[in-house]
Amino acid sequence: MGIEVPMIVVTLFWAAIGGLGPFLVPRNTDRGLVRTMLVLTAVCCYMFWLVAYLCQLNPLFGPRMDAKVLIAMQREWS
Amino acid sequence: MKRFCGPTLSTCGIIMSVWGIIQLAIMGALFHVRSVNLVEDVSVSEEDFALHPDLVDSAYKQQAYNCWVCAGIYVLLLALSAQQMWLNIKPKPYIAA
Amino acid sequence: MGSLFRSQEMTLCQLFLQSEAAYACVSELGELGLVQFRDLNPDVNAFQRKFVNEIRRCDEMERILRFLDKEVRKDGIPILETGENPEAPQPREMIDLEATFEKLENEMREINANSEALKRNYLELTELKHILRKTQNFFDEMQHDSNPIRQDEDANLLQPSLSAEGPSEVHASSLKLGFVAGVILRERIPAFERMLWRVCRGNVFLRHTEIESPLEDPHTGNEVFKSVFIIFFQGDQLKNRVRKICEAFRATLYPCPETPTERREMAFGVMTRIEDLTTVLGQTQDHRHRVLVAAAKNINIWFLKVHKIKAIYHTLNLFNLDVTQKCLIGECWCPVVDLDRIRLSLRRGTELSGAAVPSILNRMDTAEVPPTYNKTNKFTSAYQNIVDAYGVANYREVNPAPFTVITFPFLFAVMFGDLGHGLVMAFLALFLVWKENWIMSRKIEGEIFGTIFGGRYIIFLMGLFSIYTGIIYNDVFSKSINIFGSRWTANRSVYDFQHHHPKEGDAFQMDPILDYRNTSGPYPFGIDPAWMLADNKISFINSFKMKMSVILGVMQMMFGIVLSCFNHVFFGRMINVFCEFIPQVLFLACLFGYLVVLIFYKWVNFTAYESGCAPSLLIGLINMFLFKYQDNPPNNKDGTPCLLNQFYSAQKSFQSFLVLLALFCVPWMLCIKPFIMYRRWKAAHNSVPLHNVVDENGHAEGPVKADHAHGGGHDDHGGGNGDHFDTGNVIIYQAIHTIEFCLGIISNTASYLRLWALSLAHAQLSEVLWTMVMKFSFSINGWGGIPLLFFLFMAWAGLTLAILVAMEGMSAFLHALRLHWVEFQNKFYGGQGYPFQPFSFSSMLDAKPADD
Repeated sequence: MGIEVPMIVVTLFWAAIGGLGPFLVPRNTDRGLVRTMLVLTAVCCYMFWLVAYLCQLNPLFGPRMDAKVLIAMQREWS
Repeated sequence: MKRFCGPTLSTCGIIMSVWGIIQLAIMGALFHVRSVNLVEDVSVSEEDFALHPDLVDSAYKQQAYNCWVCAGIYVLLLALSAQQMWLNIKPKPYIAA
Repeated sequence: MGSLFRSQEMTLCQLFLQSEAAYACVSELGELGLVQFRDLNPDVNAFQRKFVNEIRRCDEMERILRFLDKEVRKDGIPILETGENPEAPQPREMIDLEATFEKLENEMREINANSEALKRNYLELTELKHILRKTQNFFDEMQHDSNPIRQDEDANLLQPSLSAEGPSEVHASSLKLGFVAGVILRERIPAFERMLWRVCRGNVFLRHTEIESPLEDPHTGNEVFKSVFIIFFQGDQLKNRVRKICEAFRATLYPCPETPTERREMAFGVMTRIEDLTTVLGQTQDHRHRVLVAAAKNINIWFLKVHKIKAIYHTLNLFNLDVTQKCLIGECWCPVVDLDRIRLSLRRGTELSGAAVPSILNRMDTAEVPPTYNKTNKFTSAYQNIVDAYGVANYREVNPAPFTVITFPFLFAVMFGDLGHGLVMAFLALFLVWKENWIMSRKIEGEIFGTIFGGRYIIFLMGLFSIYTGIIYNDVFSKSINIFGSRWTANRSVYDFQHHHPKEGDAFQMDPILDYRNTSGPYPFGIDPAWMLADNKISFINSFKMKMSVILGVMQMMFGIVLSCFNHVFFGRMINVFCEFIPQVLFLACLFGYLVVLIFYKWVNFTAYESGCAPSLLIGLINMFLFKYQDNPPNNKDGTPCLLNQFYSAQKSFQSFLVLLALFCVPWMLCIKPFIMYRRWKAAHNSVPLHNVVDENGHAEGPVKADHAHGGGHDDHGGGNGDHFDTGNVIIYQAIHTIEFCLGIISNTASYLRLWALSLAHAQLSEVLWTMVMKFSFSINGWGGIPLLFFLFMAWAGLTLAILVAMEGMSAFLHALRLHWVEFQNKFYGGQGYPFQPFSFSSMLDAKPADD
């Protein structure tokens, strides 16, 4: 999985919710409200994910671990 | 069985035990697969960690079983609370004040 | 845009109601609840209005109903809650109601009086019965053992003085002892005894015994415990004293015959009378019960009806009578979209009353500001309340509530972010939402519960967003989950622990180049779980959360400024678009918008290879304001401080341009608008010197102008009205506005850092709770850990609920509230309007229980 795949998947997901969602809202009195909610949700959640994703793109320093954790990581995650 | 706790306490009991069952069952599973995130919680020294993997494994297993047994106890607590709740919401005979 | 975006368009209407139809029409309008009446006789005293009499009658009916209600409650008869909503009765029905109530009241009072008399009688008889029974015991005891004592006493004490008269005299004197018997409250006995002793100097003999069964006080209906007493004394003087003391202690004295046969006869008589009384009492009680049960069935409906009648007459009192006395004239605010519905109910009211002339509703033009009316439903009302708690929106200005629906729970969740806590919160709120009809029908009292229940939809959304942010933060009760596989691996030989054994407290810093699988990209969703296990987790998380706070804050503030543009355009204040909106956007974008761009640029552009030498954002920002730049960018290797490195080559000139542009925005905001206003005023003044309704601010519509006059110019202060231009006022207002904005941008950006601080505090607190409580429960490596785990889990869950979900949730809620009220809304929100309070039976009846 490269850098692009999650980027594209998440972007498309929130774009679909924020971009297509408003057009699929059934026509009733609260249509405007639901549209606003969809767009704002998409914007907020996407920004939040993007910030978390990009800040890990090029880490400038690494985590410092206890030996215990490192051993467990070696055994379980490798 | 007799009613010995009121509606609030039995509601608390139900919430607590549902939570306990779910979380302890999940945590048992996590201990069982030796989750790295729970490594701080297993009481095995640094040295044993490096040298005696079997000790670590058995500690993880033990905690997993503990969690599951505990979840089982919470199932009993849930049954008890539910029964008390049922007694509480059962319509009472009309008493003139 | 939805209906909530701006408040409803309102119009002032004049209402002509025929006298006969007025009552029915107002009743229909009350059911509809869309009309706010204005008081047309504000200077008329409440007692001089037309329908005072009717209101007084309603008050009387309410009094009777309250009396009946009290009686029903006293008997513990359940009141029927049908949830039925009867129409307001016709005026002629009011007489029937009055008659019914009066009859009921009289009946009740009669029954009560009777039963009280009967009960008093019963009490007296019962006491008498007890006296007879107990005194019998006293006398019996005396008979048995008085002789030896008496003889002893006689021998020892009376002998010297009485020896001359002989023993027969002694016997005679002992027979002359008088006595009184009575009943007294049990708790008064000791004082009573002491008093008797002191007053009579020990010359009386008191015997008392308790009546075991409680007696009913006929007046209050309470149960009281009493004692029977009998006092022996000698002589009339003592008798008087004793009687007086008995009176003072509210003891009831009863005649008690001296001879046993008389006593027996009397006791027999008393018993029969008691039996008779019991039957009569039972019948009275039955009758009372029947009457009350019948009343309890209807009492709520009656209450509703009377409240409605009273409300209608109160409303009619706001109306004016026209000269011919045939017609009532009222004025009301109503939403334009609902005019048809209002007309329809007016027509229905006219038909119901059978009036010949239809009621008329005329729209009126007015210079007054209409009330602000936002149509809400059960989902949006809580958010609208949040906004209204700060200030009710000006008429037709942009309402922040529809945006708050999402941004509020989102900002809350940024501070509260934890998957576990979010789940708990969402499930609790979901339960409230799921059971809302049941809970509403239960009418549970309690302010705290009411608040939580009212905000159940907000809390539910807060829970959902907390789940999302919790996943991004990778935080579940301070633990993390590794779904996609951590990107950090410890595979190098440095970490070969088989060969060099680690000691307690050994820690190893991973290398961002060698240990990071950069080719596969970062952890795809949220923070890498490796960070959550690290010692230096805080320094990474802090950097992430701080930057995130600034980014979210700048975005929300920018959004607020954009909304202000909607207001300017809607109200036709184009001057504000050019003299306020555009420089404001530029100011924010040049300073903090640029910072946001730099943050992203730094993340994307600087890799670990030039790691130690990535330029610092904070120092870069400070230097940007100070125009301080390193002339020769230092080489990474030569040891110069890398903080002063440049982000990109043309940084100096570009940043200088941005700062200068931002600085230029200040005089732009400050001076241009007053200048243009002055020019316009002068032009208008010169062309039409006497025309004094010039619209300096480019106001296009009547209501807007009125708003202006009313609200004291919250947004753009109208300087001169007419032939006088108050330059100083305008300039001072504009200066305050500009300074507030410019300083506000800086301080508000700093204020958004609370997002970081609060979320850090929350995460730390939950970690502390886990290590202090939960971790401890795994410390026993054996089956003994089970009871420990059982109890510690309960403690941990309880503390999690109380501290992390409830208290921390409250604090995050308040901070989110502040971010919305201050940082977001001060960019566009006037909040100087007044709420629309329609005449509505349903809202009136909802509010009623709170008053009582």
